[in-house]
Amino acid sequence: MQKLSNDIVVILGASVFLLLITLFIVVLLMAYKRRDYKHLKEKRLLEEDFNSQLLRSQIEVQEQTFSQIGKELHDNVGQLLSTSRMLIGLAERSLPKPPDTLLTANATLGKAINELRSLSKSLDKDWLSQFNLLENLKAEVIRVNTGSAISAHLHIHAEPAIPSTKQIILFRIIQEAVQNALKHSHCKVVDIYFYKKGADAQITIADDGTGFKNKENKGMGLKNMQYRTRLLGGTIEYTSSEKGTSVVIVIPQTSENDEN
Amino acid sequence: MKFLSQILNILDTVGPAVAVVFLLRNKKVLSKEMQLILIFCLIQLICNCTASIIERLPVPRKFILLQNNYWVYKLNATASFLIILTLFLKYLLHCRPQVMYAALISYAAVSILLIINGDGISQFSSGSSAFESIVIVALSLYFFYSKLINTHEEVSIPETSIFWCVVGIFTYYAGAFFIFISYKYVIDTSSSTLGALWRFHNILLFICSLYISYGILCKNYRTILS
Repeated sequence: MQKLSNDIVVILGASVFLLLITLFIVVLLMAYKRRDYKHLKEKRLLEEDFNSQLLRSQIEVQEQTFSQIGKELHDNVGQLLSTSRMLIGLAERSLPKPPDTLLTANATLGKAINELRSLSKSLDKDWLSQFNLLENLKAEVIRVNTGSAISAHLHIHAEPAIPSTKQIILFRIIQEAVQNALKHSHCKVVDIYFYKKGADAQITIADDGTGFKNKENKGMGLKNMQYRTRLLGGTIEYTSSEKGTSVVIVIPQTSENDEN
Repeated sequence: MKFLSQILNILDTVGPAVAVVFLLRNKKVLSKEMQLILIFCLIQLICNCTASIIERLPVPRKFILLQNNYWVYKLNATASFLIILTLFLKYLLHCRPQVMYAALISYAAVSILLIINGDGISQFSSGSSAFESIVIVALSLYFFYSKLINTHEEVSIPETSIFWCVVGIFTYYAGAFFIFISYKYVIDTSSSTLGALWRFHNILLFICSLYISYGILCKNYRTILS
């Protein structure tokens, strides 16, 4: 009986020992994987941070280029056009009865100067940052409506609460979407809607054009829009059919204080 | 003391019952892996219940299946092993079907050999249960190792259900290995004190069930580890 008790004690002891070993293995594995997961998470965060910095600098460079082009257009080409218009004006006045072609040329040149001015303004970040997003968009809509046969409309159902630094980025996204509609969709109407979606701001740019078939083949413009949306911490979706294309941008709303 | 013994005696049915309730009451859709875990728990619950009922029946018992409950334990061990083997080879380690067939043929061959060379069919098959334990412990360790070297997990493994289920299975089979392998020796020497070993086995099964129940509560419930 005593021997048997000893046997059972040994068996139970061995079983408990194995149980402890299993516990040790599990704890060890959990500790290692937790550390590993934490490390992986940190690495991913660093990567995201790096990508975000990279995107930021890419967009910064792009903005500088836009500003440079805008200033060049305004100061250089604009000045040349103004001088030309002044000379045409002089010629007009020196003639007793100026020909119609000269008058038309003068008027066309005036129109070109105005369009060039508004274009250079829409490219210049410093100029844009003086106004808020909606004011800039209104100016952009006016520019589109004057410069082409396409009719653009701005519908504001809810004003977006986005810090000024991000407003320029969002303006560029909308500008790109509108330009895509003008260039590729053969549309007649472009509508820009502002909604509130929960705590986020939703912006929809819809046109009545022909749409695009290959969603996978994204051009530089679409990629830029994606980069910029990612930088704002939002999402962008495209839906395209034969009845038109709509670009839906959802962006988290933050105040200036949150940014700081 | 007697009350404690009675509680320990019914732990082998209470544990799986708790796990089954947890698995069936949750509102989430069961993944294929968790369905196998549910089947494992149901097998444990039904077989252990049946074995307890047979044990409590008055003697003499005329019907051959009611003579003893070893066949229920054998059925339990074999069915549980096959379920766990499928879980590991097919779903967790993604082995090819040929490996599955080879494992099943090997298991059948080893079982027959063990029955012929000692276990018999009228008593608890100590050897084959110990063999099943070794195989399951080895598969669990391999699973843990594969998780250890895989550093591209999208989710934290301790937050997944299947991890806790494997931990439960691993704990049960590793802890019960010595009980299984020494069972025949103990029963031959003296079966009167066998209860202590079986109660410890019940505790292990209860721990296994608790791990499985905890797994159901994990937030990454549907995550399939591959």
